[in-house]
Amino acid sequence: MRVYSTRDLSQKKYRPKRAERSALSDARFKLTILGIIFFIAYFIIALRLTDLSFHSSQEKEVNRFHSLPFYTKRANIIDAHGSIIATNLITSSVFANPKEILDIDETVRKISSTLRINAKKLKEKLTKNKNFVWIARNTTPTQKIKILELGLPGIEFSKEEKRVYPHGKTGAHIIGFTNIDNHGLAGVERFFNNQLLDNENAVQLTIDMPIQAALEDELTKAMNKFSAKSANAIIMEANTGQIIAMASVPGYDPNLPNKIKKENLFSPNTLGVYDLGSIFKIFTAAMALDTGKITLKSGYDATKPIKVGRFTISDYLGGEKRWLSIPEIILHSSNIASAKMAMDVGSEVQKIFLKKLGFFEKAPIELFERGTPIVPTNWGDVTTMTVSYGYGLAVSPLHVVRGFAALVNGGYLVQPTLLKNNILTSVKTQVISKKTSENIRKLLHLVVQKGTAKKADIPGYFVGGKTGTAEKRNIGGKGFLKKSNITSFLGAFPIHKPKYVIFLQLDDPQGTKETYGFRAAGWNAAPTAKSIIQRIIALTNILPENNPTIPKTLHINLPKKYFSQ
Amino acid sequence: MPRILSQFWIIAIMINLTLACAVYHIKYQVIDLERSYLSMKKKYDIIAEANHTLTAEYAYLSRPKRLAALAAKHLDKKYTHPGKEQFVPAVKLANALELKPINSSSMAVAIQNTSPIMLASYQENN
Repeated sequence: MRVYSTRDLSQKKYRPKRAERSALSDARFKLTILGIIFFIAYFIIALRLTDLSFHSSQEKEVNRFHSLPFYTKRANIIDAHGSIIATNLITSSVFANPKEILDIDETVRKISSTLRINAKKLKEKLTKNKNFVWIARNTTPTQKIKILELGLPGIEFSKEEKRVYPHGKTGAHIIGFTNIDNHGLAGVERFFNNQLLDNENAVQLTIDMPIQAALEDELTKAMNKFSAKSANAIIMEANTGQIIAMASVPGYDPNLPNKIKKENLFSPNTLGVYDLGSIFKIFTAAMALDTGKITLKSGYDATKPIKVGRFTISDYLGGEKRWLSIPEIILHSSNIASAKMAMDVGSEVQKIFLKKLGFFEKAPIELFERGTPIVPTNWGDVTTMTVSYGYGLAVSPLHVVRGFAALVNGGYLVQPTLLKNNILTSVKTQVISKKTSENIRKLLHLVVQKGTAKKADIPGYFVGGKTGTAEKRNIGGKGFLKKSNITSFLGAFPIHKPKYVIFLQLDDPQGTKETYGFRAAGWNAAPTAKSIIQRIIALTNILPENNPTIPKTLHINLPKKYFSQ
Repeated sequence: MPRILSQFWIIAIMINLTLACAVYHIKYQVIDLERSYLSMKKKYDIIAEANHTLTAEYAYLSRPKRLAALAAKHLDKKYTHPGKEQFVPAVKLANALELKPINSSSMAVAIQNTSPIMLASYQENN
């Protein structure tokens, strides 16, 4: 056999036989296929390596986990100090798949006794031809453990969230409540529903819960003491419009939305509109002073009642029956003189003034429960006179507090708000002059020192305010109810530099031994306001003023008889 | 030439094998890390949920009405009545007692920051 060298092969001296050629071609083909396979495998590995080197998918996954801290479906509501007012807690709800239940009677008996639910209704549910029926929503951890221990087939748990209000009834009319599916139905819960659902950040309110609790405590005491149907109050910062506390008793427990009585759901502070009586006289005085029609030295004749058509305007218990100076008109709360003052200013100016204070439209606040004022359609002379002392125009307590803040804070109309850090609080409109505001503060201090609001006086703290006793509107009938009153107090403190304005109202208070049977605001609303202010002072650590110049700045010249008491 | 080709394939296969091993190792390392991360995340969630519940419980237990009731029951305290029981800051008391040097020193600042103390009872107006 001849042996060929590589040289021979390269010089093509060797001519392979047909069989050899075929084998060689086969081998080449196989090698090419193998090469292609390896190349594809190598290419795939290279691609995967590139992918891994960037860690794209893993990184995304990791980041997703990092960005998902524990959060609930609905954000918290917190008070001005950061204390939780409303929060969601994780609970378990029990549901059943009736098709998987082996013994319906046994299941019904065991579950109804554990969860204390109606056995008949439960059996109705479980005999339905369904794959899913709720048995109980938001069970307690103890109930869950007990049901698990029963080991019943077809009974399962679903993780849910329950809205919880740790402060119970406190602040219920502001906070509102949600339904079982965590949707706000009233109050702030309803107003900020989308924000609370979409955002993880808590909604911080201006409400100060210790003050809110103190306010509700004092209102409850007053309601019981004077056998009133209800009591409500608002405390607002005079310069910023921030609502510090706003309460109405009797209230309701938002933790038990199914047990809320319809009448307790009503929020009189924002939704109710009332003819608030004599407290309106301070607005009439402010209007007359600001338009320049009168000064503090002016006066009106209050000797005789005013007769207009079939109406007679007279003063409480006959009044002073003499000429009264402006401070005396406010001091004695003269209807006759207030009516004359308003007539001097005129109907048009009165309307413009009250409109400027926002009395003709819904009061702005972060609640849907806002009442529309009842504004007379024909604003004639009679209306001008009756509105001057608080009849004929029905507004909500929030309207009054807002308007009153402007009278005492230097003349600026503020935006009432429940939202902490609300940028709108800086938007203020000057509605009366600083001089008028100063005079109004003097008048209000005088009423507390010498007038109908004496029982609201707190030595060292310079309280100013005005009381009001108004007959209630005859709902569904005509006119007003003679034997049913709404008493109120509208004040500010410290009056020389107002920080807080306060409005409180008692619905149909009765006379007591202590009040000698009197039902007027000076006997019930004024002392209640004093108790509330004392609680606020203690909670906010406000110190008394002993600066001798303050009484001088608030002094008004009056006849000697007022100082001989 | 065939020898060169065969060397190329050997090297290529070895690289492939090495890379495959590395990828395999990395893949399972990542899976392990992810698993441990998820386990930690789960623990964190449990703690966060417990913390959330405790915060709500704290708000419930420290609600002003409850604290007032507890204070009334267990402490010899009552609500102050400003105006009747009068409060003054310590610095004013120091001035009233003519402790002048204190007012001008840094002590005055410290006194200013102290809680007010009850000085006297006032007669209420009737």
